[in-house]
Amino acid sequence: MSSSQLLKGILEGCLLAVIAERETYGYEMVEKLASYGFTMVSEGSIYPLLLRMKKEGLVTTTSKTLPSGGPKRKYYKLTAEGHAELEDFKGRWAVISTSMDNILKGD
Amino acid sequence: MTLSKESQTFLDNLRIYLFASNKKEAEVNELMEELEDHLYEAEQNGKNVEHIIGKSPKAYMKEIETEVETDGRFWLIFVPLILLNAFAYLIMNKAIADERDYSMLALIGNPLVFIITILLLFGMYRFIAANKLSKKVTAMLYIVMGFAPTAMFTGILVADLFIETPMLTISPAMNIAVIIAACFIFIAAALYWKAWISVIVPAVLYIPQVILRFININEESKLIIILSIIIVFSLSLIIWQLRLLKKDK
Repeated sequence: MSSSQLLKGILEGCLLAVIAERETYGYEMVEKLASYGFTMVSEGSIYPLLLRMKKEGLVTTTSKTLPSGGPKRKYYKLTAEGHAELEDFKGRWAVISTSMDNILKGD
Repeated sequence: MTLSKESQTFLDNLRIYLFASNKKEAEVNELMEELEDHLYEAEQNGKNVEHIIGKSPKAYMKEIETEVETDGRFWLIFVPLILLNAFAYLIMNKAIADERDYSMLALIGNPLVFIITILLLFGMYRFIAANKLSKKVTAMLYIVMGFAPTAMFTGILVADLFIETPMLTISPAMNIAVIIAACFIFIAAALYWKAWISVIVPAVLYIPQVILRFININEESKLIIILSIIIVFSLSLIIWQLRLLKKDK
């Protein structure tokens, strides 16, 4: 299994965590993820996911015009539900990562 | 702000793909704007389009397709309206000439061919947008798709001559009702699309025919008058459209 396939399952959790830090837009999220060491095979994969998260009410968006002109940029912010989902994810992730560590260590 | 040719081509294809999949326009536009912004910033940082959408544009398009909502209005409003509109043209021709016999084959076959054509057309657009085809194959597809509807409609006409199906004959009163209904359909279409052309074209086609019926000249001159009106009208329409195009540029 390639690392990008592994990432796919947890991408929503990653995005929730990144957006929780501060209001942000697509390209910035990808850069943030990269700075944490997550390199993605196709960066565009975040957009279908963001669309779903918006429909599920986890994030809200606002369009802002850039001072430099050009098209509007869409910024994402977590809703209360989004924060709750992130906490949920943290809990699930803690369980998985300890279990995974244990398996790999052969405990 | 300019994008590389690859990125622009991908965006164009994605738009066609989503359009041919009846996706909600507002949602598509929002997503396209976001992607364009992303592609632009990525290119500024030396990344190429493959970085953003992965190795397979088709796979990425499918990924997006599942998340963007489908526009239910297409099959509920759009298709019925076009279908009614096309039907109104067919029927007007006969109704004005006071031909009141309709064969079952034509009544069922024509709408059926129409729906098959829409499905084929959208299927073709999706296929062309999602796959990297050579120019030859693309051109072939367009040519085949250009002829297919004509072939099918002609097929119905020919079949109608040889196969006997039950006939539906309507009364003269019904015939007038049909004409009125067709007029309403033309007006409804014009209002829905906010384009007067949906009223002007049938008016140019049918009003002279009706008027000429009450004028006592021979059939040949009638035909010549009608044809010249249609030709003059079509030509002015083309010139008008070309002028608009020039203005846009």
